[in-house]
Order: sequence, then C-alpha cells, then structure tokens
Amino acid sequence: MMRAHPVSGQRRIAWLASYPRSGNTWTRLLLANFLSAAAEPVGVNDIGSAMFSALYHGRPWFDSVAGISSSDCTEDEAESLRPAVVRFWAQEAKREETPLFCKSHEAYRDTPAGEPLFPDDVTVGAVYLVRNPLDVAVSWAFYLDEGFSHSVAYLNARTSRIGGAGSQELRQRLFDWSGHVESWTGAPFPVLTVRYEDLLADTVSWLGKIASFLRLDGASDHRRLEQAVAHSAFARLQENEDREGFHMRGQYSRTPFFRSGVAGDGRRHLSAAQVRDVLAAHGATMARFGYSCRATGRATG
Amino acid sequence: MQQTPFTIDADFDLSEAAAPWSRAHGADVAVRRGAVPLSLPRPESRGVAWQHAAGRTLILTPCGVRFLVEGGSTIRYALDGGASLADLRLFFLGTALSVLAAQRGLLPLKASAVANGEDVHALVGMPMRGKSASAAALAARGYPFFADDLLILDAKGLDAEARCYRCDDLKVWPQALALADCESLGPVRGTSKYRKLYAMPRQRAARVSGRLRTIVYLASFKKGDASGDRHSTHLERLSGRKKVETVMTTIHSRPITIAVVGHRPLFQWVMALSRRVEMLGLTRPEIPTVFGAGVNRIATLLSAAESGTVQTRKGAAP
Repeated sequence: MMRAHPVSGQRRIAWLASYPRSGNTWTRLLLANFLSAAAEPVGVNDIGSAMFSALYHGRPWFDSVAGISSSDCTEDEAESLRPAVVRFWAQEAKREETPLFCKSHEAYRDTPAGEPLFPDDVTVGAVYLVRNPLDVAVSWAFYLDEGFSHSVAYLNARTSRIGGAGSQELRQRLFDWSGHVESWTGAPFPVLTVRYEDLLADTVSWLGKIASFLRLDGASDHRRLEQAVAHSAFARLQENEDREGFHMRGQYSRTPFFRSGVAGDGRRHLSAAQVRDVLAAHGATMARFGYSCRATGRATG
Repeated sequence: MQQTPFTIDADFDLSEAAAPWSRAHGADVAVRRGAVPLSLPRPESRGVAWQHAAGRTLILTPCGVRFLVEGGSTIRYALDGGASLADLRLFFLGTALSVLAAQRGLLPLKASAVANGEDVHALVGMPMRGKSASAAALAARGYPFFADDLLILDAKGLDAEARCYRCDDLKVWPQALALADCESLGPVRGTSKYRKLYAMPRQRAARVSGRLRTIVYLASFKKGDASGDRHSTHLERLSGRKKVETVMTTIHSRPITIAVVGHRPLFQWVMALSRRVEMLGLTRPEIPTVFGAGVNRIATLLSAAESGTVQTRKGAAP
C-alpha cells in the first residue's frame, strides 16, 4: 500500500481533505481518539487540541501565524499568503514524530500568485474522503438550511465556494464535486482516497489503513483501533453534541451537525430530477468510485 | 494631562480620527517614506509577515506596503506593487501603530470601543464576530463610538487606571452598514477587491482618551451551545485564568507584540489590566435578523456595568 512520506524536517503536514459533508470531522475524531488512546473519548469540541490540528481556512489561525489581520487583506492577498503561513506553522511546530493535521474542504489548486495552495514541501500526504454526491447534497442542504435544489446546484457549479470577505472563514474554492475529487486524487504527493461508505461499513479496518498510511504508531493495534472507533460512534457524537453543542454546526442549521451519518440518504430525499442533475454532472466520476448511476430518487423509489 | 501618549509627524495625511496625534513639528515619532529592507539581519524572532531584531520591527504586508518601526520613534515606509495611500493608511493605523505603541511601552488591544463620558467599553472577540458593527450600532443607542480595530492602553499606568486612546476610523463590511445604522464614507483600500468601507456612526466621542471600564468578549451561538436556543444570549462574568487568557487573545498583532515586549512583561501588563477592568463574555446569535436584539443586550449590559449591577444569567433576546 502507498504510504505518506515520513515526518522529517519541515515535511510534517497531513492534509485531511474532503468536499464538505463527506466525513471529514468524523475522521478527525477517529484519528483524535486513536492518537489519544485514552480511556475517555475526545469531546467533539476538543478535536483540535487532542490531535494538534488546524483548520486551514480559519481566520484566527491565519492571523496568529501571519501576524497581520486577514480582514485587512483582499481575499487574493490572504490566499496567496496561506502557503507561507502553513510552511511557517510546520517549521515552528515543536512536535517531531506525528504529523500536524490540517483540515480542508478546498479543492487542490494554485493560489492567485501561482503557487500550490497545499505546498508539497511541507506535506507528508493527504487523506482524501470521497462520499456519494447524492448523499452529500442532502447533508449539505441540512447543514445550510437550504433546499435540495440549492445544494444540488452547489455541487454542480465550478465556482462554488465557502467563506471569504465578511465571513469568519477565509475564502475556500471548491470547484464542482467532480472537480474537487479530481483535483485531490491528482495531487502531486501521496494521497490515500477513502470512500466514506467504506469507512462507515468497516471503520476499524479503514482507520487502520489511514493510520498505516500516515505511519502512526499503533496502526496495527486492533484494540486501540477498536477503542477509537467505539469512542467515535455516531450515537456518542450525537449525544455529545446534544449535551455540549458543537462549534462546527452550520450558522443557520436547524439540525445537528451529526445529523444522520448514514449512506444512501440521497435517493431517499432527492427527487428523480435532482438525482438526474447530479448524475449528468458527475456520473463519470461517480462510476469511477463505484457509486450507482441509476437515475432513481424519492419520486420514483 | 497629555491628550495622546505620543505625537506623530507623518509625511502623509493621517485620518481625521488620528488628527489629535498629529504634530507638524517636535513630534515624538517621525513617519517618512524611505528605503525599507526586505529582511532584517539575524532576526531575533519572525513570522510570515514580520521580523524583529535589536529594537527594529519590519512589517511586510501582502499589498506591498512595508514598514520599518525603530526604537519607538521612527517609522519608515515603502510602497511597492501598486500599493496606495489608502493601503498605507490602513496598515499604518493598525499593525504599524500597534507595533510602535508596543515599542513605546504601551499595550495595543484589538478592539472596537464605545464611550460614555470618561468611561470606555471595549468590544473584543475573534475575527468577524461583529465588534465594529456592534460599536456602530451602540452609537445609535446612546454610546458614542470611540475606537475601531486598535485601542492603545497606557500599560505602565495600569495600577492606577486603565487609560486608553483611540486613533482610527470606523470600518465595516457593506452588509453591516444597515445593521449598524451608519453611513458609508467610501472604500477603505485602493482596490475594488477589498470590500470594507469607512463609515460614519450616528455619534462619535469627542475625546481621544478615556478610562477603560469594561471589556466585552463577543462570541456567537453559531458555535453551538447546549444552554439555550439559538435566538437567546448568554452572559458570563470572566475571572481568574479565563479572564487573563481572554485578554491575551485580544492583543493587537499578538505575535509581533510578544516579540517586541517579551512574554513576561506582556503577561504582567495583562494581569494588571485584568485586575483593573470588568470582563464579560457575551454569546449571542450570529443571525442578522436578531443582531439588533443582541446590541440592545450589550447596551443594557454596559449600563449595568457602569452602575455595578451586572446580572450574569442567560437572557432571551427581546
């Protein structure tokens, strides 16, 4: 199996990348629980500190590392500085053996200055999560508190983005869903592509593959993997969010962040026309990853 | 009493708000266009956009404005790559002035503020939590606008009182103009890619200094809260370690200020400030339709802070 580069010098960033609502946060929790190996689960609001991770789009992180305020910069200026920011973060970090984890929902691409947004020279590798776009469309709609037509259009638009000027997050360009997938699976550093559905079906095995790819100690320790998976069980996360709230919940969302988590929601919620729209835009990429291109939705069963 | 803690002789027009700092002759600080290096030899500390060595701080902004701030008394600047006077003014009255203040033994806070007579109330929080818009909206509710982005404190006098100074104009995002009940005065920077606007609040404080009485840390319910629904506000009085840690997060250009002042002295300043001011954490919805209700809550809170009757309990938005 392909593996990430070993952590060495300033090469220490492991990207956790995905289109939004594709299991990125759950994977971070799985890894946080795996790395902590503690008897108690990592709380949903403690992921960052538990696994020394950053949100690559976070303004507070950018401002604290850059030393200037992102809100004084144009979107292009801030974006063009981000490779230098993550490079500096990697250089200054005291941690020497385990990667620094950086979450992103952005497509792999260049900055306006023409430099890769995700610089190869600080990267050990990327775990890229891909999820059936029909299910993504449903989950994204609930997260945004928008209709399914809105989220389907979002997945199909090359110009889709989140954050930016006036937002608490820096601008993140997503491309359309297929463009996002193709950008990451073609990145120039080691990328482990994980289907969300596979991770859901056999979480212990796939967490082990992720840990092995990232060269984490204990990657073959079955008990440790099982404990991390149990600590990250969906029902537990829902209970945790219900009790404490969760800082990543959507601004306008009326449903919990950990809402459903199941595979197959797309065809239960989307109309046949909405399914056809997704298939027309993404059928080829869906087929590449083994997703059914059968044009049935809620209306036709 | 000196009106400002130092005076500035700049070879470009400072903003109207910074006019009290300006002196044509005999100023404490000279600001001149000149040669500014791209790096400093043997920097003691550095970040992506700055370097510090031997009492000199180099600031490299992504728009092409560079500053060399030296010994708390001179600032040289250079404009490259199409940087405009508006860009210069923005970064001068923010990052460069905060570094200059730190070099002169003053404590720069990233805060917006309103005043009531001699009392000043600062609004702090993470980026994009509505500090400026809230200050402007409070100006329409009887609390004259005092400062935006940078509030400079007399760190050495903190044992006696928390005297603070303002120097910059109000800046808001276009979508906040109506919420904040203020008028646009035009773009902040010389590029259409930057959307923030200078704005005129309904009332402005005439004074340039005041006594910092309250710091309100603004957070939002977007980040989830089990204690209530998403249309309510939640207030807590911060104390002890949490208070000190929160003040630390509000330092302007924090990594540069730490490099200039040093961890230990800065921590001592923050401890002194924490003893001197009341600090309240206000969590509110981030939904525009209830922004005004959240500002009403802040106004009520400031009034209570002035009379010493703050009740820290969850409150439904009116």
